[in-house]
Amino acid sequence: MNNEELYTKLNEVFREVFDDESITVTNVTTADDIEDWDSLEYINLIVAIEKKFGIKFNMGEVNSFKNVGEMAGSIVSKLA
Amino acid sequence: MRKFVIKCILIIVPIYLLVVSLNYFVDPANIYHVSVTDRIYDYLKEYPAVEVVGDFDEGALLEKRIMGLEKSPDTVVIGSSHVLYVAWKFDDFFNAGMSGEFLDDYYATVALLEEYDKIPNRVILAVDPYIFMDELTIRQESLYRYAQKEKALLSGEKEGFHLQDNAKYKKAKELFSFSYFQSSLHSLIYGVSSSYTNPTYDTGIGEYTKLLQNGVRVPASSAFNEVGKIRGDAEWYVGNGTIYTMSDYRSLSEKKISEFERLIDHLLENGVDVEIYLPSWYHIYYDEFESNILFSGVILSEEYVRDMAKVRGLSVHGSYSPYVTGLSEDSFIDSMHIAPEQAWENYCFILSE
Amino acid sequence: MEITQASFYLFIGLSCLIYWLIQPKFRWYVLLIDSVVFCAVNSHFSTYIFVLVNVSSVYAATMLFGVVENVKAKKAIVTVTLLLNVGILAYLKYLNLFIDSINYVSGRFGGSVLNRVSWYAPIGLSFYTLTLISYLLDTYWGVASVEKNPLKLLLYLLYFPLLVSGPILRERETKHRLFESVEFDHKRAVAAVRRIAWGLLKKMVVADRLALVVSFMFSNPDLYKGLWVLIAGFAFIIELYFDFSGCMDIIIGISACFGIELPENFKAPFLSKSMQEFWQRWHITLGLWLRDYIMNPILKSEPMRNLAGHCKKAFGKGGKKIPSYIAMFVLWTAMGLWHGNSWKYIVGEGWWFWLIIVLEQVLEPSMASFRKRHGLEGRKWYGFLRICRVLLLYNIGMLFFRAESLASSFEMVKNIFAPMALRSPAAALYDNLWDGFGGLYAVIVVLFVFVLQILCDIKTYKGNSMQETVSAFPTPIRWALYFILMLTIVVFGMFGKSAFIYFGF
Repeated sequence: MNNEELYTKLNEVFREVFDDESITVTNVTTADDIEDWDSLEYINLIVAIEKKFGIKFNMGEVNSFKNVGEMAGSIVSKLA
Repeated sequence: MRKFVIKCILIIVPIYLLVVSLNYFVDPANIYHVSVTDRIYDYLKEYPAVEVVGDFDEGALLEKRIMGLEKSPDTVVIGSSHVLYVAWKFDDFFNAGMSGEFLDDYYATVALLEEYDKIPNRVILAVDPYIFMDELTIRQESLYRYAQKEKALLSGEKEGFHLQDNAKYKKAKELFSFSYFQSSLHSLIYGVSSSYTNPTYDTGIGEYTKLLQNGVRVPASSAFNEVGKIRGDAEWYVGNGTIYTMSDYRSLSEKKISEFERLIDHLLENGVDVEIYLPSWYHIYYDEFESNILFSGVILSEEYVRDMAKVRGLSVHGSYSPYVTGLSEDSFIDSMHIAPEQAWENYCFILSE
Repeated sequence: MEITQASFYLFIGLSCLIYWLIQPKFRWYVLLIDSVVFCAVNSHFSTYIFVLVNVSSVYAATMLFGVVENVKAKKAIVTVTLLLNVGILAYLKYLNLFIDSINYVSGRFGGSVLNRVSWYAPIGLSFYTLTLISYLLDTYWGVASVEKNPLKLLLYLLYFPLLVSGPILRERETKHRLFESVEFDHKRAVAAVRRIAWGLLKKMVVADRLALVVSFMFSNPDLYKGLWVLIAGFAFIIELYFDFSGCMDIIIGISACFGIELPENFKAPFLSKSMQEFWQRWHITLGLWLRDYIMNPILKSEPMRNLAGHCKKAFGKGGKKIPSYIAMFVLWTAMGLWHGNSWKYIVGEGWWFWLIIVLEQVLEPSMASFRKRHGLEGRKWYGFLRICRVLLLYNIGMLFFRAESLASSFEMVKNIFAPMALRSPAAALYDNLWDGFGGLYAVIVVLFVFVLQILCDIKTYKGNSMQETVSAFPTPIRWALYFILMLTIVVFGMFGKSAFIYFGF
């Protein structure tokens, strides 16, 4: 999977979870950039990403992602 | 880094210089100046009472007074401010009480009596519950060496040297104390000179520290407080969890118990009659002592003292419980002290022998 | 040895001198020795056993993670170690709560069955246990590196500034800083000492003074009714904030003296516009810990995901949040429990805030459209109202925190609606406290510091730093300020017995 595909899929997930078609994420996007993304929604987002890509994050990874870029990096390594 | 260290020194040193000089020169508790005690003593030789503004060294004063007694008194009472208020109307009686005495102060008093050959026929020992707490040693620092000497004498051991206990060390440490600095500042601003003393014939209880008949000291805050204020004060202290020096007192120190018994036995062996007096506590405090496990030491100490006295055949007067001694709220002038007249009424039977 | 005593600063000063003078690779030994000394002086001897069990169990477990391949075995190791460490915390802290609850039930039938126990807990137990658990779990999940040197692990957990009131650490953030010493930096050292002084000012001049007022008002609930209850609560909030944040200033400043940066615990909490925001700005490291190690794992678990699915089907979009409310409930119960072994903490410091946040979440969509409709976003006065709302709700929670017991806290809340007197409560305050408080000068100083802290917080909320501003002042003004600061502490500090509110947790 190349970067473009990855982020296309990620955008799909984000748009669905936050019910907002205008969301576009980059590797530096954080919770501050998206209105409904707070600690209560975070796990919903993670689970949706897991489902979309068919992978599993462990709790430690979930707690340590600082931005979407780091999530993407983790997804890539799990798909490899 | 050197620059930083120098900067720190440049700020800290002047501050401490200020603190130390104010502490030394204003010296509200007269730690570094003894002239007050001399003056008080001289006045007491001529007048029945002295009005003292500010703190003074009670230990040094006691030594002077014992030294100056013409002969051994018949009865000496040893204890804290709980006995200072009682105008013991005996003949041939000496009140050796000092504020807030701990066990070592009792030792020091006995040591002084022996030193100046003034051991009496009878000693009335007013026992407060907190003397059995491990952490409380001596209150009157200037008598420290007497206490240590007596303890060593009675236990047959040579008392070790501890820097922390040394009165001189404590005095030096107090020079740097910020809380003492605040008292000095207060004295300075409100113009209270630490060496103000005045002889007076007034034997009543007044604004400042007064020494009544026979040199009994009455602390400054002793304006007769209203019942409501006393109640409020007591509730505040109870709410705060600390009553006088006690906040977590659940068991009596074995060490203190054996020292206490040794002192009593020493007096008995030397033919001195010993009677025990248990000064009553204010109702709100006593209720707390009975109900709160953190103060169970008070109840335990009364039980212990009674047992100890029974074994030796000593009389025990009074009780920590104001309900037992029949005191009402009106009997107190503040949350720690019984009114003199009331105490006199209750305890003159001790004096009647 | 408390951090408000001069002897402690002598200890720090000497340690710093040694620390910066010796070779960088030996510097952490100084910290280790300091930490051991600090523990020794502040804890009862018998508690060392617990500390040793805590540390060695975690050390052993983490070392095994590298060796053991079997997933089930690994899981077993981590579970056992976790239970052991949590068990120690529970035993030392909560046994009495459990006993009280049992006795309450048995009391209805006759009398108390169990006696309360009194144990000595090691200093900082509640804080370092959480750091320990975080380390254990992070290494298990592979997001933290295992520390092979047991002494280094010991230092990481018992690093003495943390033992007083936290903060709770994350391995990846702080551990390396302890062992990789940096160059001495003059600016950082000055900022560190400034911060310590400011913390001491807040704690000793304001918090300890307000403690008198708060103590008095809370011990006389019959006198202080009506609005007075809220005033007492508000006074307590100020006392708590100045005490706890002052403590953090001191701790972070002391650590900075050694060049070690610690995470912040406060970020202008009282400028929050919602309760949820408040808890992201108050006791930050605890909130983050509870979120990462309690709420998130619960939310991500299978049962919760299934529930989420069912809720969505049953309630539609609105139902999506139900699992998070449940997980939050567990988080808030833990939050309450962590604060103390009494039901008042669980209710007041836990469930109350859970309720408020859930209500905020539920009402947020309608509130948001209300705001949009009336153009209230960005209006300063509206923002101020929101801040007041948070303050009021926090006040109620704090009544529980400070009151004697759960029963008395309910009494106090009831009393808010009772008729209030004006003269005698005010007179009582004046008669009993004016002198102890220090009179007019003290009031002026307290107000001044209070206002300064507000200004500081406003700056922080906007992302700026007061430290930067002060560094930029011309030298004579800076030095004058330093002297005034020190003199204020010396003249107005409440010296005498004082213990931080969170000390001894």
